[in-house]
Amino acid sequence: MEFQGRLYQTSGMARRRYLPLRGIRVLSFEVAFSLPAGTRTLAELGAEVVRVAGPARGGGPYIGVIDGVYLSKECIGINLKHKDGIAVARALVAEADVVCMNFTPRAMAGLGLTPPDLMAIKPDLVVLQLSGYGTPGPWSEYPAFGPSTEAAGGLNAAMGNESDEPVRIGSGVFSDQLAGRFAALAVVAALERRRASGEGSVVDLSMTEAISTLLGGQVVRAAMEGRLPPRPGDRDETYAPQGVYPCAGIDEWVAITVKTDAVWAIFVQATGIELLTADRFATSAGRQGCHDEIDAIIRGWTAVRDKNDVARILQEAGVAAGPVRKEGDAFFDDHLRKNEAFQEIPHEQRVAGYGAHEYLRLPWTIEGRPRALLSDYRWTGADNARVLKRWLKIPASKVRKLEKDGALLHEAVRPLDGRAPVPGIPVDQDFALRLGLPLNREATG
Amino acid sequence: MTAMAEGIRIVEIAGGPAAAFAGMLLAALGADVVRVENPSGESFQDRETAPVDHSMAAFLARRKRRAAFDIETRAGLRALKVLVAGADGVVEDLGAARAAELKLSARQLRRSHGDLIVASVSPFGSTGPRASWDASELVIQSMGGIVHSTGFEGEPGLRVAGLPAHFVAGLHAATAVLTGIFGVRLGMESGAHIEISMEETWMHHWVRHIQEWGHAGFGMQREERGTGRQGFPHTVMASDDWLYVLALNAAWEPFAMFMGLEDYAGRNWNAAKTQIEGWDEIEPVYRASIASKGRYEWFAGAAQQGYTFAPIHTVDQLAGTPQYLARHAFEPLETPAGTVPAPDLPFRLEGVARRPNRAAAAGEHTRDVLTELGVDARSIETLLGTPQDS
Repeated sequence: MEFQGRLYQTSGMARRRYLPLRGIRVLSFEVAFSLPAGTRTLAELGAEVVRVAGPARGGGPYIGVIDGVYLSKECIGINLKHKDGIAVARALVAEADVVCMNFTPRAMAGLGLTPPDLMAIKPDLVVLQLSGYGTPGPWSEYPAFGPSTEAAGGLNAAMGNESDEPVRIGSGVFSDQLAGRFAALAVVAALERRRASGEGSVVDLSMTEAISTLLGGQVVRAAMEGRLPPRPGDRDETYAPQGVYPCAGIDEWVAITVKTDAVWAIFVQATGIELLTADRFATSAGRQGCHDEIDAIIRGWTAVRDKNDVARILQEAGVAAGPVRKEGDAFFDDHLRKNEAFQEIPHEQRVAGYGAHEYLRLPWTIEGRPRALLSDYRWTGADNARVLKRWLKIPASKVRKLEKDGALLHEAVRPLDGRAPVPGIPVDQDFALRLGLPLNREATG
Repeated sequence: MTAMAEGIRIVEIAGGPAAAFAGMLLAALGADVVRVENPSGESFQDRETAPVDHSMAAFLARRKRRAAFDIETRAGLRALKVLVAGADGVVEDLGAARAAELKLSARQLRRSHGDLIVASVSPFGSTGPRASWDASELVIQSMGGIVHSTGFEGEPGLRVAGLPAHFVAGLHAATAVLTGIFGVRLGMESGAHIEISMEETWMHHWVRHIQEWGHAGFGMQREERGTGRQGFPHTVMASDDWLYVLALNAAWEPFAMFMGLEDYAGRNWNAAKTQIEGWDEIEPVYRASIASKGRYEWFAGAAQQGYTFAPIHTVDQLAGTPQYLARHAFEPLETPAGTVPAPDLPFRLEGVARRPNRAAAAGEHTRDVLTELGVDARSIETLLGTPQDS
């Protein structure tokens, strides 16, 4: 399979993809979601990203495949407990511009691949180390998942309503995605610094601190006012009304924000709700004081309407509103389709029974250029020969010997089973039909 | 040692929090960021915006230079365009219609020089059926996902606190403008207009759930109050404060022993089904056990077992945590209203000192910036307004 992330045309600038990081080599010792999300960003911008994978874990890489954070990268399988494997890793480091890692600091130390070790191999290297709590510090070796860093970083306690216990986000990857995106920024900043000064650098990133940075306004407010900021749930301290209102169907909702008194008048007219014409609702202050009463009236209007219809009616009138999307809704959205937010990627072997799936692209559009192109997940060691030839001039015969000796790992591509349904989790039995998923890659358009 | 983005010049055309967050990040990296705002220190967006939140304004203004003049006058627009002509990048979130009305469309800005990188943030992008839709933080979070699966069963979904959808888009804008400038300097690309859709950036923070549906048809449900996705509550009060309990894929017996549930650690309790069915019996013991120790004691003990517990901090506790103190995660932020602790960039560059962490007042640098642009003294006086938020 052609490695599409590397494919760029040399014809007119206007038609080729935007690849400002072309020529930058990134070697990434990465697992899970956070760092892979960051290095995927670099790959989509033209960097040559090689993922270092260790021995396969039981169950196969299903979650890594569906998350999409390993797309557009090559993969080399290295047994880092084998002396020749370590030698290959160190040789690759010497040819890289950037080395990233989210293995635990202790694991990297055990391999002799700490940041100082790496800088000794190549002094102008950019090294990025990502962990739950950051290094150094008393918690630097503590294990973390994204959700625990959200709690420690201050988010859970800020969420929900005043009477709620701390509330956690209903996404398993919120913090991971945030840290990954910060990692991409950090790497580019360190590369620019190297370009300007010739100096390499070691950058250490904390997932927990990324969450706290997102809460900077509340942190400053708490310090200035000497008390915690309010927890208004879905409401807003200024805009009223604002909320999530039920719509027709099971667990269907619409979000509405009325920003000004003028917009309120438009809202009342657009909905035609007589009860809302009362003078006491005419000002924002008045509406804040009657928010419960107003919400009950609005709920009566929205509850019998489709969420998309409500959003469209209000937006056409000039009111900020939008449907609360469920998991599959985005795939059928005209706006996202027209803007090519998804890209269909054919698989070498079926994944969860199908030959291709759609994945979200880099959420940027470059005026006059096609959107960034994704290429499929690469299994452990799929690019051993290609990468070692290109980076280290190692011939294929030597690569085969390293694989045979166990220094390099090579996992055969095979069909990948999906996850078994979890009791209590709703399953849409028609999803594949609705999406038109192909059984084989050849059937895709 | 040099800062990361030293020598890079950025113009932030004041709009909403997304562009302001992007400018703040770039300034923290060492770029010279000039925020151009209207004479009252507010944004140039056409809609009425919320009153200035002084704490948020201070957080977003730090390390920037702030120039306040009216770009809706001919002289003001000319001054802005001279400023842009000397810049490497622009970050803005005015919206395409308002930018065109101000004669500040990306195409117009990029006429100043071919290497300029313009990063534009908008709720839905500038093309497509929803390009002109209005949005709020809640609307973006709802459409991008997460609201549907956050909160409690039978109640409306909940948004994530603060302005994260705006800030995440701002993070993308900062990365876009810096990457673009790097590409120009390397000779890989020329100038570009990079558009960032807040809806799309937010979707990536929920992508696993979009893809669980796209691969297997799996949905999500908001959890019942008082329960957690592992069958036991994740948010529990320790002896001193809230603790987050998470031990994914942990074997039950050692976990039960660690949690002080010795009576339930036997093999007959191993099955998740048995634990759920017997939860009414286990729960009081579970809560009492957690309440017997402080949350940091639990946190440290769990880490030794490989469990990912965490203390649940409020925003006023963060600055004093041992980890943040050791890493100097928070820097004192000097604001017009006093000095307060504030989170900095979540990453450190070894050996590079951070820039002074000061939030300028609205319009504080107007004269300096205009003088640098070659605007004469008389024209400066006509352009100057009266700052309001200082």
